Amino acid sequence: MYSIVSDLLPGFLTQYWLALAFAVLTSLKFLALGVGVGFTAGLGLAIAQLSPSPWLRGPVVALVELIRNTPLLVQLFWIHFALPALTGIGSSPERSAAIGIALSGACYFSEIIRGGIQGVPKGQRDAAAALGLSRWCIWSRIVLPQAVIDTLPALANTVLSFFKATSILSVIAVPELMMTSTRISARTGDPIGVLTLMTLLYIFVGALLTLMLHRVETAFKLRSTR
Amino acid sequence: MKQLGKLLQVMLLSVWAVLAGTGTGSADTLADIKSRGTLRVGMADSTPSQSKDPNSNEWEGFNVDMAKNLAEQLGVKLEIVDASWSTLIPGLLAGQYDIAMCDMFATPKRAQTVAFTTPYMNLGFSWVVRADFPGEDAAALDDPAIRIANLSGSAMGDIIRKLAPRAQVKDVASDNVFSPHLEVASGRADATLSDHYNNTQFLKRNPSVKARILGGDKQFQQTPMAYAVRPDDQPFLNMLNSWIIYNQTTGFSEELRHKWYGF
Repeated sequence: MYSIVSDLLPGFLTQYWLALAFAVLTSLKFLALGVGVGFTAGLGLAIAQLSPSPWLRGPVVALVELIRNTPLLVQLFWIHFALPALTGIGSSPERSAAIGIALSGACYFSEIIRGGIQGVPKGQRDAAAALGLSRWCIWSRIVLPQAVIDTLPALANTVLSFFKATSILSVIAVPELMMTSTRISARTGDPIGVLTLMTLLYIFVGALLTLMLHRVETAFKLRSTR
Repeated sequence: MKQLGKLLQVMLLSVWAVLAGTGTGSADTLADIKSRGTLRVGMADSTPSQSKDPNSNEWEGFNVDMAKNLAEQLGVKLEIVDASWSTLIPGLLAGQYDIAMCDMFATPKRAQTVAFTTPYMNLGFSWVVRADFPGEDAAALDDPAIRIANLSGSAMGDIIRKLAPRAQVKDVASDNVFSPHLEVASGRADATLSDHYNNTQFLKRNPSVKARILGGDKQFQQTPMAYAVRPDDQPFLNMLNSWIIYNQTTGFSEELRHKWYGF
């Protein structure tokens, strides 16, 4: 039975399935980093973008616009080559990739959350202040929860985009799914088979992510309507 | 707006720093390697010259063995820095590694950006002919009765027409670089032209085919392959050149070439 199955599978799969599994995990690791650090920092940047102080707002808006208006590929090159030359601190592909994807995540999430915050009627903040609630309480219990729930579809969309964007990390030799697949195809001399399998893996993981994000969205919507 | 201007200034400055190669600090890489105790080598994937085994995550290949030997000669540890083909030269100029050791052709254009060592190997073209093709003379291919298979869309077509203008050129449309070889093996063509590595690989993988390389291991239009260092690195370059020539004299490079390239 086993031999029939292994005969049907392309040779590279039996030889390199473990490497491919690790590659998918590496892609997901960078996605988690971009989304985790990005979302947390994005909350802070979103609030800073709405600050009345131009000294705080100005640099943050400049950073967000700079990152949003340049391709991730260009940012990665700059972080990997120009930044170490400027600071004198060396970088590895993994470190540059982590900085790049986290920075990009923070700026994209910040823009989405800022939109969500502005969607919460200002009257609620005034009313909460009139009731004597602290600033911390107003932001953490009233404004941000609504802002995040309202923007869940946009946030989910960004998570999916970032999953696909992890393939760009291959250009600085991060061993994620794209890089590993290219390596395997060069070694086995079967680019069509390997790249087809890679596409299927992206579709599979992407569909799984969509399903998970949809679940999260419904759960939050249910909770908020209770 | 002010902040944006400042940021632009910083960006331009750093780009200049990279281009000028000042990000590396000192120009005596050889002394740096010795005091650091590590030789940092930049590599990008290309089988079998240097590639990372996806399973073990270890680099292996001709240039990996060469790099190990170089580190041994210098008495330091070897550190291979992962790069990709598009970042190989920028990474070298930015000082992420001391040398780029890849199967790179040393062309005059590239030599304006980096400094190349003396070539460690040459790669040229060779003819694959039917096993029963008479003689070893390539001039016999320039004959209207000879059919030469050519992978359509490849750079070989022009070279074939230049070398054997009177022969019939049979264009083969395929994604497989070995399809013209199969034409020769099946007797539908008398010869084909390809780079010498492709030819030896085909014959090595298919030992029973009725084809051979014309003139034994004779390659022509050879292009030198060399290692690249930063342009201001003369002391390191001197050492590398002596090391390469030494390895050629002792037969070490030839041994490695047989092991990894099969010719």
